[in-house]
Parts: sequence; C-alpha cells; structure tokens
Amino acid sequence: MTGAGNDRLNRSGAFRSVRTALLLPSWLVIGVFLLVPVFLMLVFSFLTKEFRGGVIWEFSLAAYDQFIFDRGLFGDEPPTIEWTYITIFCRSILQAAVATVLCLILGFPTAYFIATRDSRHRMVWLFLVTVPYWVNLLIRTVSMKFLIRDNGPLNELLLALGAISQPLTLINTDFAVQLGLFYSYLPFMVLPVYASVERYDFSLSEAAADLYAGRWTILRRVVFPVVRPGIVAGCILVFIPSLGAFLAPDLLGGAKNFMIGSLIEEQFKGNAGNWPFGAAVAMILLSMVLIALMIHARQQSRTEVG
Amino acid sequence: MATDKQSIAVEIRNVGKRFGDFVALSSASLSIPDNEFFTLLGPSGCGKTTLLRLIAGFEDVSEGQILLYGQELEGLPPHKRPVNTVFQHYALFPHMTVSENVAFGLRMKGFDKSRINETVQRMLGLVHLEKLADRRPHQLSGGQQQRAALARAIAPGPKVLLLDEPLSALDLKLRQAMRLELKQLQKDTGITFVFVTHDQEEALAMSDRIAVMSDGTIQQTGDAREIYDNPLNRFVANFIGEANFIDAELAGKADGLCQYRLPNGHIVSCGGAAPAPSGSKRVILLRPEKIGLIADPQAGGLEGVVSQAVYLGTDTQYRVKIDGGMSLLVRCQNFGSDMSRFRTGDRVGLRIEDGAARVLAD
Ligand SMILES: Nc1ncnc2c1ncn2[C@@H]1O[C@H](COP(=O)(O)OP(=O)(O)O)[C@@H](O)[C@H]1O
Ligand SMILES: [Mg+2]
Repeated sequence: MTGAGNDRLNRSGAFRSVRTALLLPSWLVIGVFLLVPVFLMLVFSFLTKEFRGGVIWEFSLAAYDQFIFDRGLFGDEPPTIEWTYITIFCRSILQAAVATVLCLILGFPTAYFIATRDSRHRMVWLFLVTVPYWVNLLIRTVSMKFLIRDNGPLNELLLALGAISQPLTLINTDFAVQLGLFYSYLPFMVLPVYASVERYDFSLSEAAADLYAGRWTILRRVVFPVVRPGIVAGCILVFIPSLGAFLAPDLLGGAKNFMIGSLIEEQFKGNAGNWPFGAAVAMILLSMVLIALMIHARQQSRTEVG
Repeated sequence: MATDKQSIAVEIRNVGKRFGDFVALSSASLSIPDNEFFTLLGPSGCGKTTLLRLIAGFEDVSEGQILLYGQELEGLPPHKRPVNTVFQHYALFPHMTVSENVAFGLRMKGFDKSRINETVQRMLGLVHLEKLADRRPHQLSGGQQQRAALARAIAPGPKVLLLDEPLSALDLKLRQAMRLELKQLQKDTGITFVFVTHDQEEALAMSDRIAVMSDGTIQQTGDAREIYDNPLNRFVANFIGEANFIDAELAGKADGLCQYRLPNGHIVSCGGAAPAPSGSKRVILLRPEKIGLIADPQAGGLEGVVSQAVYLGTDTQYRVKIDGGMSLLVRCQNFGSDMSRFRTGDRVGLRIEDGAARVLAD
C-alpha cells in the first residue's frame, strides 16, 4: 500500500541508521534470550555427561549415539537400533497431531462464529474464549485430571444421565493426553483463524452460492482455501508446543504415555539426569520442527507464485 | 414490448424490504420482459442493490412476490435460482485462476469436463481474456477483473443476469467502451440483463427500459425517451438531465395543449398535461436545451439578461435572469460562427416552442 513511500524512505541513509537504532533493543532481546540458550543447548549436546547432573567440557557424540543405538548395559555389545526414543518421538507426533485436529474441529467453528457476529460483540466473545487461559497451565491441567478421573464429575454426569453404566476409564489414556493438549492450546487455534475469517470477504460466499454451490461446497471450495493461511498458522501454533509439552502427558497420561517433553524434562531434573542427552533430544526436536517449517514455507511460496 | 405471460422474465409484485425499522424498499412493482436490457437507476442508497439481492435470493422479501418466468421464487435459496450476478466489486475467487473462476458455476452444475473446457474457452473468447486464462485475479487490471466476473456469471447460461454497478470501478474511457461491449453482449447472448447504476448517462446509453428509483420506491418506468421527455415528477426530471422547474397556473387550453401562466404573467403551451381545473397550480418542466436564445427580442416574448455563460465545448450553458424574477438555465449548441454566442450582461429573448414545456403530474 505504502510501498512507494517506504522505498523512498529506505533509500535515505539517515532513515536507515535511525531504523537500526530503533530495532537494536529488539535484536538484543532476541539474541540474548533466544539464540544464546539455543546455542548453549547445541554445545551441551556435544559434551560429556557429569553423573550428578551438569556437563564435563569434553567433546562427545555419546548423547546422539544413545538416542539412536543400543549398545547393551555396559556399552560393549554390537550396536542395534534403540527403539525407545524413536517410539517416544512417534507417539509425541501422533498425540500432537490428534490434539491439533481436535483444536481445528472445535476452533474453526468457534472462530467462524465469532467473526460473523456483530463487530461490537466480537471482542466480548474473544475475551470469553481467552478467560480460562488466565489461569496457570498446571492448574488447568490438574483440574482436567480431576474432571475426567474415574469417579470425577464427567463420569458422574454420564452415569446420572444413563449414557453409561460403568465409569469410563479416561485418566492415563492416550485420549486424556490429547484432551489435555487440546485444552491447553485451543486459543492458539482460535485466534489466528479468527483473524483470517474476520478479513474474509463474505461476498465470495455469496458469489459461490450465486454460482450454484451449496453450503458445504462453499465452505470446502471457497472459505477454507481463502482462510488457509490462518488455519495453517493455528495448526503450527498448536502442534509445536503440543509436541514438546510435558505437563499434560505427565499429569494425564501416566507413565506409559511418555512424550518428548517429559523425556527432556527428566534429563534436567534432580541428580539422575543426563544434560547432554536432554540437550541432544531437544536439538533433534528443534531440527525436525525447523525442517517441517521450511518445507511448508517453500510450498507456500510456490503456490503464491504458481 | 411483449405482454405475453411466458415472455416476462422477472416480475416483481408489490415487493417490500425492511431492515429492522428501516424501509429499504416499499411496494416495488416491475415487469421485465425476456431478452430486455433493463436498468435500475437511482442515487446511492435508494435500494437498487437491495432489489437485486432480493431477486438473487441473498435477502428474503418482507412482503410481495418475485416471479421468474412465472415461477414464484419465495423460499428458493440463491444456489437454486437460475440467475447469476456480477458483483459490484466482482468477488472473484482469489485462490483460483481466471479459467477456474469461470469454470466454477459449470462445475457446480455438474457438467462434464469436455463441456466445461469448451464453455470456458468460449466465455473467455467472448470477453477477450483468452491470454490471461491462467492468471489469478490480483494479477489483473480493474477492467480485466470486470470481464472475468462477467464471463464467470454468464458461463452457466443464466436466464437472467443481475449486474450491480459493474462499471463504477473503472475509469471513464474504459467505462464508455464497456458500455457498448455490455450492450452487444446482451444482444448476442439474449440473456435478460437487470443492470444497476447511479449514472444517468450510462442508463440512457445502454437500456431498453429504465426504472428510476429514489428512497426505496420506483418513481417511473419507461424507455429512455419517455423518462427524459415525459418525467412523471420532479425527482425523475431532476435526476435525468438538467431541468428548470417553474411554478405555474393553468390558464386554459388551445390546440390540445394546456396554456400555463408563469409567475411573470407570460403564457406557455405545455404538453403532457393531466386534466385539471382552470386556475390549478402545477410545476412545469423546461429542459435547458429546449429553450432558444435570440439576439433581438420580439414584442410579447420572454426576455432576460444573461447572468452567467459557461463554455462547455460542444455547448454553452447560460443562466438567464428573466424580467420579473425567475432565473432559467439554457443550453445552446455551439455552431461554427461566433454570432450565436452571448456574453454576460447581454439582453436576450427566449424562444420556447409550443409543447416543449411539460407539466409534471405532481
Ligand atoms: N443488511 C442491511 N441492514 C440494514 N440496512 C441495510 C442493509 N442493506 C442495505 N441497507 C440500507 O438500505 C438502503 C438501500 O441500500 P442499497 O440497496 O445498498 O442502496 P443502493 O444500492 O441503491 O446504493 C441503504 O440506506 C442501506 O443503508
Ligand atoms: Mg448499491
């Protein structure tokens, strides 16, 4: 919109130095609080572990080796593939994916509903959606545990309604973790989807109806494709933190539903941990996320041009 | 004009539309024959878009009926009505190419692939967009977007095409060129066009018939000549073309024309008179170009002094202060010689042919 004006401003040297000065604090904050810790983790992952936590400053690939290979209890057997951690990764991806789909199924209609309200009421609805998230995540997760336990309110309600005759076992299941993740990150889906539906031009829906498209076809062929950036953003914002989450799996999933987040957490907790291994797992997770995002960005730019 | 029931494309019977307490449209009645280029003309906010949306089915009527080829449309959702719309801001699907946009309606109708491809090609040819078939809407100019929207709307072969100010976003030259193209397209396809505009020139240039609207009511329906020469009321006369309105009093009748007395006592013969008792007061309309200016006033004629002269290229527009108070707008064509021109302060005579003035019904 103001492209021409910006170009002219960009070309003037005085403006550029002012801009640099103004941006400097942001760069410092990002550098110190984001890049330095990630870099530290990268370094730690290539060091040797100290038995009581911490690291010895000695280069080692042991952490990555431990992730991939099983060399027996004393490390002297021929290496075979270590499935434990790969399984945890796969389970985490699956759990995060299910949580993302749940968020989308509930979040899209919610966002659509809010975006189609009278503009005076939209802020109220958005506010209501975010209210539960003012409470600490730990407390929310614990209350979820309370809600779905065997003799909790949910089971009692279903029993009273006669929908079930036996209490459902929900706690310590995959589903409980998915539910917990879904509830933890729902607003991360609702808000970006809302932002793009709010900008959606509803005369496009009218045009589609005018051209003989029914309600569902309009949603599938016109609304979804046009608001796709918002949906993708929402999915990324839910999927990534779900992948590394440890509260929901710890509290709702029990021991057999271990996820990456818990695995990393274990390595840094108390005296039993293994810092280089925790750092290596974190780096593997980070690289996977970055690669996925890069593939997405490339596809995005390709469809924009094409 | 055909009056046979079968050939009436759109019939609107006493249709009203309210938004809450606000009356956007009140007891509108229209009958649009098959194959006609019909225009809804009126100022912004008069309810033109509302009427179009009622026909397309985006809004429900508050009262009255809309019939399409004799079939009542009430309760039929937009996607089941055999009409298509060209939206004011085109509403092209941004994620589809031009040809995908044009194919959309055909796909929804379930045509087979080869027929879709053939029709899309034909439509793109019709609007001269063959070369831009694979572009996205944002890569098109305003005029090209307009053509794409047109092609998309006529591709499924609607019986009636609704166009909501399709030319208003274009610049003047393009707009004038598109007028002719649209008119030609309507003739070639034989589709009934219901065209909305607030531009009187556009309406006069393109339409078979025009309905003039204001404040949610249809003021008058007729062809361009009827509306211009014989407007029913002050609003219509003022909205289309320029007008002088003069309060006058019926003085008598002669040669089938009514004699009206102007405030300064001068008598003019008016056409379009409704029967009225002698002495009754009416407003008469005098178009600026129907008044002639002469250099040497004749005895007994209207006389005045030029108070303003504006040169407009083909015409000159004068404001003439008539002896006895009123002031009239006069428009004269500029001929080759300088003789026919007058300057501010010149004393002139005014010549008004019998029947050039019209009596307004109210
Ligand atoms: N959905 C609506 N709710 C309330 N008022 C509306 C709505 N649509 C149109 N109106 C009002 O109805 C009147 C006519 O609108 P419209 O048909 O769009 O006029 P036009 O197309 O002739 O400019 C306007 O005053 C407008 O504000
Ligand atoms: Mg309008």
